[in-house]
Amino acid sequence: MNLTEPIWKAWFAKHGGKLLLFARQQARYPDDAEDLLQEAFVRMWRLYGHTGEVSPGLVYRAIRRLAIDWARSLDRRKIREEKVSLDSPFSSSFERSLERDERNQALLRAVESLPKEQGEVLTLKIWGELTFDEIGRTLDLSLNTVASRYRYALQKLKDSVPREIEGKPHPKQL
Amino acid sequence: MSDWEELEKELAGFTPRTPSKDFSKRVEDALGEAGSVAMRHIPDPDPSPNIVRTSSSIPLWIPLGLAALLVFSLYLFNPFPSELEDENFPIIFLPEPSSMVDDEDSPLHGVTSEQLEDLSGVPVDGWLDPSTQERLIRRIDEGIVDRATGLPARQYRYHFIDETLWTHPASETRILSTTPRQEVYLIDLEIY
Repeated sequence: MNLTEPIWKAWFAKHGGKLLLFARQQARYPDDAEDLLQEAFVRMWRLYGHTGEVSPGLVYRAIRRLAIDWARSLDRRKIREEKVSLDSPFSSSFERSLERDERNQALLRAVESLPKEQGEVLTLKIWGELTFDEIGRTLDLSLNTVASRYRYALQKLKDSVPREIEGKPHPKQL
Repeated sequence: MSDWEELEKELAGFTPRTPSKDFSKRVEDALGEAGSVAMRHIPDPDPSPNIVRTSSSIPLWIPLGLAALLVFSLYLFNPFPSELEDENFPIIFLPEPSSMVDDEDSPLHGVTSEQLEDLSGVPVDGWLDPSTQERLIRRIDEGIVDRATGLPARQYRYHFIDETLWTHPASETRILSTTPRQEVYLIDLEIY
């Protein structure tokens, strides 16, 4: 381990990808995702980072609150209009090797097409590795709401990915 | 394994892309000095023995042994008038704790106070009231923790040494007992 490297770099390398995925879902415009994560992370790290143990849950919460603030902000709209919009598919948020697989592509497209409230719960649970309780605190939701949105999300994914792609026989063929 | 579990496993197999170098550089620039002052606290596995040794010039077991001897002597000879001797004071008989059963194998078994004084070299009578002192050794900022309420809090751990000093002026004897102690404080924080 390189002892001279700032601690935040290791922290960011570990959690940055997951946080960016969530920021992407929370941002009204894709270009805002990195800015959202940067702002939320810098705020949290300036406050608590000297301990080297900032809870990712704090940054998830900060991202969400900032996204709400920015959606209301006129200044932010101006910044956004000055940027060149670069829209990219949801699958581009993951490592490239996965894009080759047809089923993976279909699954990620299905995740992207989930209603926002289900998609964010799924992201925090699967990739953020948060518990339902932590997700509830991050999104200001009850435990039951979180759990049911997660179940709905999984069911939708299961229904929307064609069975042929799954490589499983259709029930009628059995 | 259910269909949902398979699906969860499959989804978890997708690895979110690591932030690009350009983006990490932007974050580094935005952090400024805050990025270079971060420090990691490595928990001390057992700080107490060292603290105790450094706070006393004699080995730990000697004052503890002498203190135990003193307490035992006071128990045996009871130099203080007991309230139980007052006729108006209600007498409650409690079952004798098992630790008070006379241990025939003990080196103190059957030893009189005079013999005890001779053997230990510690006088039985003439001790002043012990003085106590609390010494703060260090304070550790243990970072942010989540409270049960869901709100973040900053956790501080204080290390103290509680010192008790027994003094026997006639023989110029002093017994110093030190006990390590920790206290944890949680201070609620706003998210931002």
